Amino acid sequence: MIEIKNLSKTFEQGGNFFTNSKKIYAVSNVSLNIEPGNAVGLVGESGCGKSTFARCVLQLIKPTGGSVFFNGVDLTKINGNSLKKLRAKFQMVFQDPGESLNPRMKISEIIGEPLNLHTNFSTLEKRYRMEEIMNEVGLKTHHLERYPHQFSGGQQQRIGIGRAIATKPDFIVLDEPTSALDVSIRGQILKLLQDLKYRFNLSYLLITHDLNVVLNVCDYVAVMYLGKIVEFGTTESIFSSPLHPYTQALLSSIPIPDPMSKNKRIKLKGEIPSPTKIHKICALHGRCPVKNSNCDSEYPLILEKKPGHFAACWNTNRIITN
Amino acid sequence: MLNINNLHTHIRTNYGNVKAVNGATFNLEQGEILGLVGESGCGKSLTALSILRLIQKPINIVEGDIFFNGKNLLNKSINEMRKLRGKEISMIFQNPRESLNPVFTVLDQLINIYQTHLGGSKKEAYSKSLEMLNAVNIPDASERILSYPHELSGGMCQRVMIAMALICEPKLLIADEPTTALDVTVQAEVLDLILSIVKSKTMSCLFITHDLGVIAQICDRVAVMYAGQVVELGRVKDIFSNPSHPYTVGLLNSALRADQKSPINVIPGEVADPTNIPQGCSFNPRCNKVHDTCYKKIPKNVNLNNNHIVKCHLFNNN
Amino acid sequence: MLHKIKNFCIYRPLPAIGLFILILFSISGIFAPLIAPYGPIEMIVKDRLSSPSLTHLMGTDHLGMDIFSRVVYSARIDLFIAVTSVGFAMIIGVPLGALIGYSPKKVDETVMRLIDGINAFPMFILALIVAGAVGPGLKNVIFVVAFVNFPSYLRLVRGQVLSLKERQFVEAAQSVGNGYLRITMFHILPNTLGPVLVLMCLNCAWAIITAAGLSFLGVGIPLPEPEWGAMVSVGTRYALSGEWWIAFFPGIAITLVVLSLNLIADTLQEMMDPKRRILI
Repeated sequence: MIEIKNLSKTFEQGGNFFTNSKKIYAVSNVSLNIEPGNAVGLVGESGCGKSTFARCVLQLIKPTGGSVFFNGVDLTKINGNSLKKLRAKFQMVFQDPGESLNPRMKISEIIGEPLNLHTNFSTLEKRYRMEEIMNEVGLKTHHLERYPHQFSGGQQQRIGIGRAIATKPDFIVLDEPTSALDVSIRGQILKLLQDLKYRFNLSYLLITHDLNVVLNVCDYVAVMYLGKIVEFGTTESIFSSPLHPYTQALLSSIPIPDPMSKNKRIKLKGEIPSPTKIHKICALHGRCPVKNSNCDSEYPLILEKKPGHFAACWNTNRIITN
Repeated sequence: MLNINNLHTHIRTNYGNVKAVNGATFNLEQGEILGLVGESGCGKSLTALSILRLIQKPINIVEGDIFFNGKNLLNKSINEMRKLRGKEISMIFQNPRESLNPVFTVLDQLINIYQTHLGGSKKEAYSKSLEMLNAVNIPDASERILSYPHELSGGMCQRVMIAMALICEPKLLIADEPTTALDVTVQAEVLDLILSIVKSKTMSCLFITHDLGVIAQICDRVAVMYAGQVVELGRVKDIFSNPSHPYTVGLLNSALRADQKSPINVIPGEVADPTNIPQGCSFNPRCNKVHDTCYKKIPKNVNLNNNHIVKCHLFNNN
Repeated sequence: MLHKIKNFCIYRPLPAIGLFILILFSISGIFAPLIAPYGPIEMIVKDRLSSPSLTHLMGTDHLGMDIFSRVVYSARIDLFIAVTSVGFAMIIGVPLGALIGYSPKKVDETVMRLIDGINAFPMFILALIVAGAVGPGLKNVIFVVAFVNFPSYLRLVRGQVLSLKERQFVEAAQSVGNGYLRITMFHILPNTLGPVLVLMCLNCAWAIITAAGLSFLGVGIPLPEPEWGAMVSVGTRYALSGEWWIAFFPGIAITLVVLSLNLIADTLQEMMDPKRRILI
């Protein structure tokens, strides 16, 4: 059970003796809960802060504010050693499979490392577990003696997933696990992830910009824009009736692989602003096709608009039509 | 207006000959957008580069013809090709930031192309450049024209690249995965832009992508490539409603859709390795309809109705 | 195995030649007593200043010492200096560079300013200064060369580490639960070794030139010990009077060894990349 409360991360860029550094508000006050066995998708475009958020949750980057409770333990407050020990329970799968594997390590060393760090397995037990892992991710045991570059992208990602499940964690964060893979391989990896989730009752935080992936793998979706969550709900609810204009724009922009149904696109004006200011009013202001008087004056809190479906918008009773 | 016939582009390596493009055949009519779809390693980018002959040793075009408006591009000299590039055939690439020169402003890069091909004074070049930037919907064009590439976002860089490609009003635009590196909302805008410009100027466009959604939305016809060959070619409507080659079927089935939840289908096996192409039909290790002939003979092109061409033994006997 | 060697010589002729020359010199150094017809400091005064002949293949110098024997014996000394001084420089510079590259900014900055101080001197001048302070002799030459060289390793490795630590596999190592020391030594360091090996080769070449230079100027290996640089020094005095062989042969020896090391260094990095390991 993961409870993220008011997580914030601010980066400082530049700055020296003469000038002040620029602050970048990558993540602002994000709260999210992930129940055991659930997959939560976090979608948003580049620069919205989702990757930063994922790393803050796992404490790979130290958040500037907020807490992350993992089964009741606040990960932001415990010391280095205790955190290291807990890492056996939450792991990460990275975006670029070729890059996330150390090119000088054999596969057996790569997936054996978490076992070495977190368990007291004997060599035999380790070997047994490694062969088990290879089977679970769909690779052969003789692959253990090879190096990462001898595998294709899809296989490398399987190895990355194997490494993540080695210590039988409860929670896995996946940062764009299929973006770097070919279309026909994507399906294989997503199927594997679905499979593992059901068999081991894993919870996922799946970061992606690809809404197609979310629809097929996740139970809940959170939509992120400029460091804040603007909408949250079950996958069905969000895809069938998106409430926030940004979500609507996002969903309408995905090209549908069916020449008979043309997209009815909702357009946002302008470009994504850079995250260097704290927003006192809605972050979509200026780009949004809908507007009412509140939009200029107050920041819309994220409220439950329908059962289980939250959105941060003053206009959520209007669905936008072109 | 573009006819590619049995194109073979091979790469000589220490391990032997890599047949990256292995007999690709397709054509592009005037005024249409042809999608070239396939996964990594299928040879689509190299096909595009071969058309413009932007290749060097150890990559060679070893066989085949490329007819552009009746003339065989493979017979032209390098100088003749240079005059063609940017003027009659233009190309836009996947990563816009990599394709723009970081030390020159947008204006410099546009003027450079204009004056190289069409001559003219700086004033003419400037006004044409401004016109192009407005045509690609860059806001505040007169200010942005003086920016450097690093000052622009990914979507803007891509638009600048489109402006650069179109400034000499080419007859053919080759787009190599132009929106793959962009966010989905930006992608939608760039696609709209490409569609509207191509249609309004009755240009032809060869659009390379791996995204079937994009093909469905903007292309008129599509060629499906696998292991260096075109395995299916036809109108988008025909191919999506009646996919014939098992690879096309698999690709369409495994495409994830955002408008309906579906079980995930996969094509088993790995994407074809261009250094190790199987005997007979190159899809035989992954095909669910494979039979004996598939391992021995290379399939021939079969014309189903409506100029819907498939390269598969399943249709040979009909 | 033999097939691999053959392939190597065909596809990469230059480093093959370099390797061959180096092996030749190493053998002559190791088996010097068996190859050299005379002792290294055996003076045959009646034969002094004789030109190359059948009895003295490379002639003799002003003290009657056989140049050929001295060149062969000197291979021992020069190669020994090269290997040990570079070895020391590497053992100190590499781990230090790795630790500093992965440490917090303040530590990094402080140490780098100290290293900059050492590097502010032109390398050879610094070598001279230190040699002047500690005096001539084999051990001192090794110390001088090692001291002047270790900053290059430190810098190189630190630079590599700074870029490597942003790579995803390092992040993955953190997420799996590795500690700082293990990540530095086990994950990052092995990936920096490619350029380090190249540097070692080039450094060996430089070490020999430095030792030769120091000996030439009299603060390296003292006469009458055989050392190529010292021999060249002696030879320059006789160049004008026509006894060209005294400086020529040791000079050629230095040139050949330095050239071979450079040729090898050129190809080494490419071979160290694990993605290319399949290639020979």
